[in-house]
Amino acid sequence: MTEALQTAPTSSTVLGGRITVRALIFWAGVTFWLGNMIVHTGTYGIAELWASLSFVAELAMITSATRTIALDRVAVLYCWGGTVMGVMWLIGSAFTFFIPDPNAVSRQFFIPLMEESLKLAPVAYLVWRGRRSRAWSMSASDIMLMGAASGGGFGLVEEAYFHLHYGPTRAVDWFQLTRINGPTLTLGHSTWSALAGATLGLALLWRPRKPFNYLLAGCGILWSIIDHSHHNYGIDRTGISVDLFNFVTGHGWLSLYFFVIALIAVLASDLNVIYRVLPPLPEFKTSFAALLSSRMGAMSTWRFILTKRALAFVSFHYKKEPPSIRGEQLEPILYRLLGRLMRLRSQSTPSLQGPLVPALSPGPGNPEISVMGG
Amino acid sequence: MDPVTSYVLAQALHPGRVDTANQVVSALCAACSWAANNMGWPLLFSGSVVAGVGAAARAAIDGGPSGGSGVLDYRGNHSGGLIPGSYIPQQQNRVVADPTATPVSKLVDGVYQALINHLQGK
Repeated sequence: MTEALQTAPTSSTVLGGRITVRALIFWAGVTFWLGNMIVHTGTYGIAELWASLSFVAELAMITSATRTIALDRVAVLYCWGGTVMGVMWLIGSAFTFFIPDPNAVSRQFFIPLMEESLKLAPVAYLVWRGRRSRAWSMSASDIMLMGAASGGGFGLVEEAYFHLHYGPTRAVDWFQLTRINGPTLTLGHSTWSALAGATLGLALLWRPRKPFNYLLAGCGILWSIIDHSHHNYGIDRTGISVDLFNFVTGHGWLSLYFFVIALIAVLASDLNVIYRVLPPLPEFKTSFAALLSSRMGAMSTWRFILTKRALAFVSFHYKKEPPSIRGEQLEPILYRLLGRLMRLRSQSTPSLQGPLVPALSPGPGNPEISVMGG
Repeated sequence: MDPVTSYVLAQALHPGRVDTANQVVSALCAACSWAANNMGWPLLFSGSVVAGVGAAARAAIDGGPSGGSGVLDYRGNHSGGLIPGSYIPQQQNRVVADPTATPVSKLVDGVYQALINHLQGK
C-alpha cells in the first residue's frame, strides 16, 4: 500500500510539465487567503500577518534547540491553519443559518469548541498518520510549534478584521498576538493552540498510563476552549456567570502563565531526552567543520542535528515500550534514522571517524568512503 | 475581465516566446479576479482556501508539490526522506551478517547494534 502510494502520481502537470496543478491550486488558495485579507484590511492585515509570523518565528527560534521538524513543516501547518479557518467559516455560516441570533449562548460555546478543535486537528492528523512511524521521533516542541503555526494561520484573518474595526490594541511584550482590554487578556488563537499542542506533545513524549495520558493530552485544548468561551461569552454580558468565568480564568491571564509553564516543561523534557538518551558514541558527535564552509555544508549539519534528535526521541521511547512495539515499529525507524545520520555525517565530515570505522578506512577495498569523503 | 481575455492579453503583453509561468500566473490572477467579482468573495474565499491551501498542504506532506524538502518526511520518496513505511524487515538481519553490505551500511549496522545494546542495558 505504501509503495503504491509512493509510485502513484501525486499531480498532473500543465503546459509542458513546468507547473503542477497542485501548485496552481495552492497559489490560488494563498492569493485568496492573504490577498483578499490585505485588500480588505490594508495595513491592519499586513500588521497582523507580521505579528502572526513573528510569534511563530519566536517559537521556532526558542525551540531550535529541541525540535526535529524543519521550517517547511511549520509553513505547511500555517497553511493548514488557513484551511481549517475556511472550514470554520463554512461551519459558522451553517450554524448561523439555524441559529441566527449572534448573542445566543449556544454560539458562545459551540464556536470556541469548534475553533479550538479545528486548529489542533491538522496536528492531531499528522500525529495520527505517523503513529507507527514519524510520531515516535517527534519532540514535544514539534507538536507545540505545529500547534502555534496552525493557530497562527487560523487566526490571521479574524484578527486582521478585528483590528480593522476596533483599531490597534495593547499587547504583552513579546506576545504581539495578545490583546489587553482593561483587566482582561486575550491570548489569541496561535497561543491557545500552542498551549494545546504543548500538552499533547508532552503526553506523547511521556506517555503516562491511562487515564493520565488522556488527561494530559486533553488539558491544554480543554483550557483553551474554556478561556476562549470566557472571552466570547463575556461580550456584552454581565452578571454572576461572567464573574465566575473571569474568576476561573483570571481574566484570561492564567492562560499566559499556563503557556509559559508549558513551554518551559516542553523545553526541559525535550532537552532531557536529547542530551541523556543516546550513548556517547563518536559517530553521534556533531561536526561543525562544514557549518561555515558552504550553504550545503551548513544545511547538511543542521539536518544531521535534527536527525540525531529524532533518533534520541525514538531511543527514548524504545527504552520504555514493550518488546512487541520495539520490534515492529521502533527498530526499523532506528535503523533508518541511523542510516540517514551516517549518510549525513559522511557528507559533512571529510572522513568517517569513530571506533566502529577502522575496518572501513578509505582504500582500494572501500572506494565508497573515498568518494563520499570527497 | 474574464480569464480568456486576460490570457490573450497576457500573450499580447509578452510578444514572442512567452514564459510559461507568466502565462499561467496571468491567467490565474485573471480567473481569481473574475471569480471574485461574479461569485461573491466570502464563498470564494472560504472555498478556495479550503480547496487550495488544503490540497497543497496535503501535497506538501506527501512530498509535493515541489517534491517537499522536509528533513524527516513521512512518506517522501525524494532524496533522503525518512520512509518508515517502506522499511524492509530483512534489513535488520544485516546487523548480524551481510557480506554484500556497503561500507556505510556496515557502519550503520555497527552503530545500530551499539545503540540497541545501550538502550537494552547490555
